[in-house]
Amino acid sequence: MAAFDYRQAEEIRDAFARHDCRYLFIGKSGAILLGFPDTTQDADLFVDKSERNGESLVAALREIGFTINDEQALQIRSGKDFVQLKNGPFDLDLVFAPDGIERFEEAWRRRVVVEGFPVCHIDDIIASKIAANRQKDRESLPRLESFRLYLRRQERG
Amino acid sequence: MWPRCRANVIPLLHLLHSSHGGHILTSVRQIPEAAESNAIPADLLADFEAAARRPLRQRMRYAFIHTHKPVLDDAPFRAFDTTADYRRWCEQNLPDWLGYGRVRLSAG
Repeated sequence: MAAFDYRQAEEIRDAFARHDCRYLFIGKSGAILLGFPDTTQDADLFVDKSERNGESLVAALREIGFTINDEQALQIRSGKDFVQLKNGPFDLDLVFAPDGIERFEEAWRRRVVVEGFPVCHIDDIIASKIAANRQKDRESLPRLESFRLYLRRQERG
Repeated sequence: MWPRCRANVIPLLHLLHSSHGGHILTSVRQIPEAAESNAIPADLLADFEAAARRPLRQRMRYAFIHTHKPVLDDAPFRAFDTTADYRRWCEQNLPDWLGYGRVRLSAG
């Protein structure tokens, strides 16, 4: 399987918009969209957890080319907190309840839009990595903290 | 325009004592903004500035890679009731070197 690329991110953006699905790029993939120079293997989406949004999500994913059977669709719609998809054109993690972020609505209010891609604020990306506290998160946090300082400097001009 | 961060502070890792006799990074502590001046290492600053000069499409081409991750990549679909279930599954099933295990620090 080829690595996730800009064109595929556009497919997510456009298909999710067509189906009115609310989501945010999160994790290192989100940080990369914000300008963070690092590497990662797949894309992570923080998806608003509601029945209607779940239906939109399944429709959008099928349109992009993910093979989702009815049982899997039911699991996505029924409120699972974490879904891992490796049955489509690229790997995708659907995160409905990320560590360190209380509610989707709060993250949505703080979102940053980059070339039409809705992305979690760097504060939320860092908060979720601190809370997840995995080895790989610990290793990337110092660089992410420095990147946050850089963004703040840019904001202040 | 970036939204202003809460109180313009720098979060730092904050260690809390866990019920397992170790410490888990679970929260943030904050220090005043003034302390952040010149806090970006020069090599990282150069990286960030170089990245900012590249278009997003190009940055993504450099950023996303794909290698096979044992166990993790061996099923086309997995769903977990809770994020904690997912974290637990990763710790119990994935090789340590993939880095998905939670970090526990020894007390004292």
